[in-house]
Amino acid sequence: MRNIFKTSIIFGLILLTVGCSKQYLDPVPKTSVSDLLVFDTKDRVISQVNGMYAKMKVGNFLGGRYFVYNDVRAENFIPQSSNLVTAFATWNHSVVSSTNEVQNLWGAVYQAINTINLFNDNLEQYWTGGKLNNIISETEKNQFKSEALTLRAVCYFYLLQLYATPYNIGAGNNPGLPLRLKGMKSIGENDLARSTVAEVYTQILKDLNDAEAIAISDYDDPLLNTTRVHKNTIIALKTRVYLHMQNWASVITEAQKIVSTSAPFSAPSGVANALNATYAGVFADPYTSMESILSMPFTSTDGPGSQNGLPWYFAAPSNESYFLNISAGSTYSQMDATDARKLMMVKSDVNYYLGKYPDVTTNTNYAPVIRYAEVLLNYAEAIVRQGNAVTQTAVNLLNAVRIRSFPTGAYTLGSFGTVQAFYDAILLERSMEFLGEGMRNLDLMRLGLTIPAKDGGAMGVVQAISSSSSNYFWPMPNTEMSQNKLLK
Amino acid sequence: MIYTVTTNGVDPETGRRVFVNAAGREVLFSFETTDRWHYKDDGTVAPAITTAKDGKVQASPLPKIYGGLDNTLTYKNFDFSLNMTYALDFYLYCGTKSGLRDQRWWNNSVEVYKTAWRNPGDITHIAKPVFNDNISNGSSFPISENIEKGDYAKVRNISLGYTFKKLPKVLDIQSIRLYAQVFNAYVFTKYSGSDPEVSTNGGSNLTPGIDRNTAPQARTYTFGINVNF
Repeated sequence: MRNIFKTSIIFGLILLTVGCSKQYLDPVPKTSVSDLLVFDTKDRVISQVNGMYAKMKVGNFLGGRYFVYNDVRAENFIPQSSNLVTAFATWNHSVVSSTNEVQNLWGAVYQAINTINLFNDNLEQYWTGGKLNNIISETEKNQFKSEALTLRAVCYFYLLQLYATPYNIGAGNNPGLPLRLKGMKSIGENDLARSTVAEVYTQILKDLNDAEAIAISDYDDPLLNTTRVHKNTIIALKTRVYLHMQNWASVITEAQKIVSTSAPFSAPSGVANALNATYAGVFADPYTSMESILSMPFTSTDGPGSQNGLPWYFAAPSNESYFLNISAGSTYSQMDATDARKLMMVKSDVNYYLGKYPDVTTNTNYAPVIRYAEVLLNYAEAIVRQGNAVTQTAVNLLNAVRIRSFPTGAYTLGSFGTVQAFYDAILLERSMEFLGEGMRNLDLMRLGLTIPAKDGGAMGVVQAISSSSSNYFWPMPNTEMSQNKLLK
Repeated sequence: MIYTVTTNGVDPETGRRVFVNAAGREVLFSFETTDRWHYKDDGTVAPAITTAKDGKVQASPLPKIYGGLDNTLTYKNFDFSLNMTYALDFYLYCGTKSGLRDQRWWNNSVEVYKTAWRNPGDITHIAKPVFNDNISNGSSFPISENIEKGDYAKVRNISLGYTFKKLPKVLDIQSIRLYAQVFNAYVFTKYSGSDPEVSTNGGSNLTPGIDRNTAPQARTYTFGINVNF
């Protein structure tokens, strides 16, 4: 009897303490949100917007590698290591369909494109269905949509430059990319033929133009103005896209929206983008100067991943970084000793390294996607190419960028006997200004120029690659070829 | 299944690796020329060979005949056992060979130095070495050159023991057995890699047959005493 009494008291106490409430039986995960609930609150919508940027700044894409590939492909860098993980095959043009870079970059960009497409599709669908009425305003919805479209345009533009024939060859009438414009949620939707290069450019411009019409003018916050898309970002990107299409008149039209009529040049509307006073200041903490129109941000807890960041590939302390080619004809050899851009370089042992991205340990240097200096140079080049004559305005624009780093090196109208001399000067200026920012290969290919040969010493001699060569651009990756039956 | 691009040895005329494309036409690869792929028959430029377009199923890594032999002999107080297993009629992809023939400054294989193609007319399996050329040796993507028969017979276990049965009563022990054992004693195989039984892709049954720098199974010697009280 006593035993039964004791046992039942104990049981009763246990039952009381372990009370069953529904929330413990059916917990709703707080950090894993069902895709049916992601538009339920404004915070969740903004998380999705940030998610698009997060996919863009992955290490395999804009977290570093895309820019690295476009720099090491060209003639200005020599690797310390023949590790195929650190772009060696890109450097010596031996990439094949199964090479890491070829497959991983493609995968990363199309993942970003799909994230963007899914968000864009859902945003439209939920908005027209009235489900976002009390959650975000129409202005906000437009702003988010403009960001999605711009980021998608950036994805396709960047992919084109490495995987397809440049526009100037055949006016874009060459195989381009599979244009995925709708989010894919399941397997079985892989088959899609390649659109032509011209068709992809048409889509890029459509996205950018649609975005410009509904984009925000100013976030009123320096960090957001650098890391998120606003109207001037889109216009700046258009100057680059039109330059690649060799549509000089359009470059001028767009540039005039964000470049004042005389020096000191700045954007007359929207975010007051302008050149930073010093070159070094652009690459110093907090990386949010008026010059940085769009950059990918990083913190010590949110980096690009190992062997992916710009510091890993360009800074002296990294044992797998690339040092500058200083032989005759290289960009380094043509820079003046007093040029701030040259003074920023770091000498280690016998080699010279970029000083732009010094943070090898915590990778917090932002990755620049587009800055104001490029807009000025795009504008200057377009003026001369359009009119087939060097004008004072073009010289002023070129000088603005040049004398910021090299005050005694100003050009005059008389410095250029022929337009070709101007083109050579501006290409050189671009190379000096954008070392380590993934510009050189883009500049060479958009004009159909030969990628120069380079002597890597112990790493081997790399032959020049002309525009008629089959490895001028990268092959389609194995992953796409084996999953996409219509790819060709 | 082992799925690779088909290769057909090395062209004796030029020393280049001969690849066979999806249409069955032979293509030569030369790393140092402007266009790297040329048709063997007429020398015109060919599109690059890729695994996705030109790869095919070459061979199966699953043995068609397999079995074992288990033998125990006893004689007076000795006991001897022998365990053998064998697997026949299967292929392996020896990726280790590609790694050893790397044409960067890694590995510096003596095999490459001694047997590479040098002069027109040489018949060999190593293409003309060109610095940084990792396509001819099967490093960049797998080639059928590296597929080998993996047939083996392994002496898995040999053990020899002696039992002492007549022991002094004072010890209160029934018997003591001394034994020596060798595990993974010997393998009979023509496979040139380290071990025909390993796979780089882990223990999965779905991805057998790839050997890339895998460590072989060790041979273990054991000695022991069994005491029966």
